[in-house]
Amino acid sequence: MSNSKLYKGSLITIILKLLDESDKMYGYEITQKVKKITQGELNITEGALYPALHKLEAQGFLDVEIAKVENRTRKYYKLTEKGNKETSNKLSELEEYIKTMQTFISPKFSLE
Amino acid sequence: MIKLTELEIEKLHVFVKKHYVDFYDVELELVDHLASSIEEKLSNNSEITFEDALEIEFKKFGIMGFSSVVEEKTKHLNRYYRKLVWKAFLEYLKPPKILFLALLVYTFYIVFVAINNKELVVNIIVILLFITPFLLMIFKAKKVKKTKKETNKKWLFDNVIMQLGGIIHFINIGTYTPILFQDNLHWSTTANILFVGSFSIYVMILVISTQIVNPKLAKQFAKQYSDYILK
Repeated sequence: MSNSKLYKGSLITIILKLLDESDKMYGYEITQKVKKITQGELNITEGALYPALHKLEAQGFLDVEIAKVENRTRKYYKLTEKGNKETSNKLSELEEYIKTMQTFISPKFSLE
Repeated sequence: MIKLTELEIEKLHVFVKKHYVDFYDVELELVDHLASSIEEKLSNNSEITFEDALEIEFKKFGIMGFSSVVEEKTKHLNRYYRKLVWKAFLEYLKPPKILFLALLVYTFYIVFVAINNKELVVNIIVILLFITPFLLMIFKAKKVKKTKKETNKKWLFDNVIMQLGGIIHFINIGTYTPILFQDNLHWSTTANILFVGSFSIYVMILVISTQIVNPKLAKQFAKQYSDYILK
């Protein structure tokens, strides 16, 4: 993952969120989707993506589907039921984090 | 969109293998990734060759190349394996299975306490426990070798199954033999309980790994990969 170390901690959440929005995705597709959504701002590196996907798979958050596509084999990932729950947890965790950080960045001033 | 030819895909398989990816399940995913990214590169830039695009895309995997992908995947699969063993182990500690287990362990304890020449029995048991996982590993390794010879494929999860998710190193009883082979062991009640308890846990882990988790995992992977042949 490039740009900033701050993104690294959110890689899992990004992957889960993307899979939540589509039926199934393969590794390369995820990298391209992230690039497209963030207009090139965020670049997931291959060296970080696959270990993250394999970790989520081993944790039972992702299911795997192998399909023949043209002249090669493709490995698709999709969320399991457990993965759906984890996505909600991770997203609310991230929202909380953003909210907390916001209070530091732009603290609300009070006249009291 | 430019599509890669069969020959170019084959070149990618060779390339991935050459970069220390022994396992077919990992190889498949990496080949597809490289192929997809190269196709995109070639479509966007007509000046670039297949070889150049491959070099650029490979560099994206970092200085460790594919090895960190294989390493991390092995680590996660091993962890997954041990989690399955632990889950099955806990199942035995719940009724009704625990009743059956308690009866077995208790019977073994009664028989063990009644034995006069304990050192001999213990030594035989320890030797058997040392040999069994070793034999199982050799047996599985032979199967993996046979699969590789017949299909030219080696699967990472076969390797994980063969090493029982890393448990095989833990249950290598050879490490503990110096303690057990001591002379003049005093077989107090505590010692009896300790031996019977450790023996029971050891056997349970071995049985759960080889009889429950291994077939379950093999079936799960065979369902995912149609190329994988259950043996």
